[in-house]
Amino acid sequence: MENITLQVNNITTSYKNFKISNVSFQVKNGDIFGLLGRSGSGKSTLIKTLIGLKKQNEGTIKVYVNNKETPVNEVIGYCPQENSLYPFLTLEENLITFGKLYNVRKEVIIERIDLLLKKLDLQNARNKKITQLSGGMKKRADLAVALIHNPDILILDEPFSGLDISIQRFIWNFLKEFSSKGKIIIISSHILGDIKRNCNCFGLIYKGLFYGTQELIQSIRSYKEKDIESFLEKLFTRELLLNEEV
Amino acid sequence: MGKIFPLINSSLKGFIRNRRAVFLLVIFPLILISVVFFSFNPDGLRKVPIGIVSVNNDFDVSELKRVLSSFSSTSDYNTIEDCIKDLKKYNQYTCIEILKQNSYIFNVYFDNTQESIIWEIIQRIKTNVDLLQKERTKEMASDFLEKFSLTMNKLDIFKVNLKQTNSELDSYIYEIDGSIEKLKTSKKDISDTINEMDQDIYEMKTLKSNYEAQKNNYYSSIMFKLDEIEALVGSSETAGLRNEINSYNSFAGNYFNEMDSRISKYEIASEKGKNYISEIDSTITKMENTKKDLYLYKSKLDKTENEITNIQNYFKGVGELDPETMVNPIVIYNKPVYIPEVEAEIKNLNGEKAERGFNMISLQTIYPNILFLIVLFLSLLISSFVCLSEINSPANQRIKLIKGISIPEIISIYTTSLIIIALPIFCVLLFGNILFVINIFKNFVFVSIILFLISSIFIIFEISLAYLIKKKSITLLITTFILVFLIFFSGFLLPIERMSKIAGYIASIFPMKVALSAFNKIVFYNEWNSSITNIVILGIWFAILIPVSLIIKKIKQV
Repeated sequence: MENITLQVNNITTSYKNFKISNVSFQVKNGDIFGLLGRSGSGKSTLIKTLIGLKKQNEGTIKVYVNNKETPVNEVIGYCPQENSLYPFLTLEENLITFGKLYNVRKEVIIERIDLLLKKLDLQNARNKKITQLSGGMKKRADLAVALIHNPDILILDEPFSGLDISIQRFIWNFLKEFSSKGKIIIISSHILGDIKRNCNCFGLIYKGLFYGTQELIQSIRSYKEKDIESFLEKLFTRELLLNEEV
Repeated sequence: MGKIFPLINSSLKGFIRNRRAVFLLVIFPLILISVVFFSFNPDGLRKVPIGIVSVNNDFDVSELKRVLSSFSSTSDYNTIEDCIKDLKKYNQYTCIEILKQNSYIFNVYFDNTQESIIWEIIQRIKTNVDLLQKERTKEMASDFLEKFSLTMNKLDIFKVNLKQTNSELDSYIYEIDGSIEKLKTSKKDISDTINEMDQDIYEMKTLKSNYEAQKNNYYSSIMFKLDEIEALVGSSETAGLRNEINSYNSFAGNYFNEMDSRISKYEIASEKGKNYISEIDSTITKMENTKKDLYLYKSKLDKTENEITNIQNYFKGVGELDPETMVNPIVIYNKPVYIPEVEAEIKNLNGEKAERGFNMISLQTIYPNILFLIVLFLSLLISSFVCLSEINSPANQRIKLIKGISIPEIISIYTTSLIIIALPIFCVLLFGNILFVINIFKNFVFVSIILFLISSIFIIFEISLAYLIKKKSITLLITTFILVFLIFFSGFLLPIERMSKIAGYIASIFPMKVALSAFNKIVFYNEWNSSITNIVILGIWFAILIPVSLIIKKIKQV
């Protein structure tokens, strides 16, 4: 197993009128990092900055594989909020295309396709065009494509929106299995229960500021909330105001 | 290269499976292109209506109608105003008003708001009217030449008569010379005779004078002696002798008087002879003057003959002219340099096919414009569609994550666009080859290079534009404006020769103009070597636009 570390140091990123500052965290092998925040708080902007689609205003994002700095886009698998596949290609064609774009050898691609389709229960969708797939299948197809090059870090932006609970659970199980292989997962979601249950570290974006795991734990304690779920529920429903200095 | 093929593959598959896109961007343009090509009539212009106004003159309108019938249907009008009224309603293409002044005048009225077609019709009317005019003038010229030939024959006869007169004058002169000689001989004879006579008279006079003096001396001496004798012998004795001597003296005196009278007669005859000589001299002088006059006439005759000969020589060329040359001393033939091969082929075939070959020239020369307009539209629109589909594709945000994807992405969009437009353009080439009988495939390598470069330039340009704007609707709007600009700025509608110097120069190095010139040179004249410069210019455009598109992509983070 490779030793992987993602270090985010004090980055600031902005989009249109709002800015997210003070983003610093570090994740390592096996971590599932839950990125929290209300709708429109800037979770997707931060994720796009992490994966390199958007350039940060300041700060650094570094990935170390076996203590060696590696370009972020070489080790990242990305699963955006919306479906991001070629709609007129079949699932298999999408997988082959992206596998080739990531310079994966053809036999490896075939091997991985079989594995991913089996694990994500997509064998029946193999030769179907993306436009013919259901919402849940599309999300799993996206996940499969994000993993075709066997990335060390998987970043998912709101992967569960619009999916029924069974598919959500299926995906969580898959992600946990993936994490158990020493991979890093960064996932943004507004479904607090799942995040609380499945993630071992967190980040909250609230009013343009980023709060890491330790800061959140301190806040929970100071507000005497029983867990992060109840804390965030109250925070989001404005029953309590988070002190910016927490 | 490893990233390019999967991208091209996915783009092409995506395009082919998008039935609407295939229909709208390939099949629909192909249908339109086919309609355009099949709508052109290779047999020439369809018959156009032409109004004819010919009143108060004796012009044979039926003849005019006959020559115009190949491309027009004619109608008669009483006044030109009626015809122009119909022309303004687009019921007539042109109105021909025939007037008679010193010669026939054809006023051809036309609607100059429809210039493109109207010029061909007017040109045809002019050609046919010229033909009629030429026929008429040829008849007149034939008549003239016939009369001219008769006049020249008469001049020949006149020359023969002149020569004969000249010859007669020569004989007259010869005869005068003979007469003068004879007169001179006679004059000499007479003169000699008179001189002899004068000599004789002189001698006779001298002798007579001597004899008379001698007689008188004798008589005086005798009388003296007789007086002496008489004194001696008496007068009776000598009276008889005295009488006899006196009688003899008287007789001798008479005799001498007779001699004087005769001498006087001789002298008168001598004078007469001298007068005759003088008259002979005068006659000779007159004859010599006549001879001089005859020589003068002869010289005038010679001069006249020479002048006639000169006139004949001068007009010899006219006599050798045929009526055609006489009618058209200066002939301007507008010779198109490009003669379609179809025309060459049908030389031995019938006239109908020859007419078809003639009509092919205009269609063939229009063809490159049609081809390049189609290339322009297809390149810009298809590349715009492909590029914007990629930019707006859901897969794009995943693609953008891949390291070193920019160049392969542009290449794949470019290649996909090129592959998609290849089919319709090849169909256009086939149409040109089959319907317009242009031998495009003779220099197919060069034609392909030109089409490849011009398509590539437009595709890369449109990719840059799409990266710059990103939004489909605005990109298509701007593309439409650019299409219109390129059409106007590449000499399709407005010739670049009408532009200002700088604008004309810029337009002349615009890809469309450069490619069009190269294509024409290669296809029509087989001048591939002179097209290399054009190909290089196109290559430079292509080479400039590639980094531009990359820079725009980088800046716009598409």
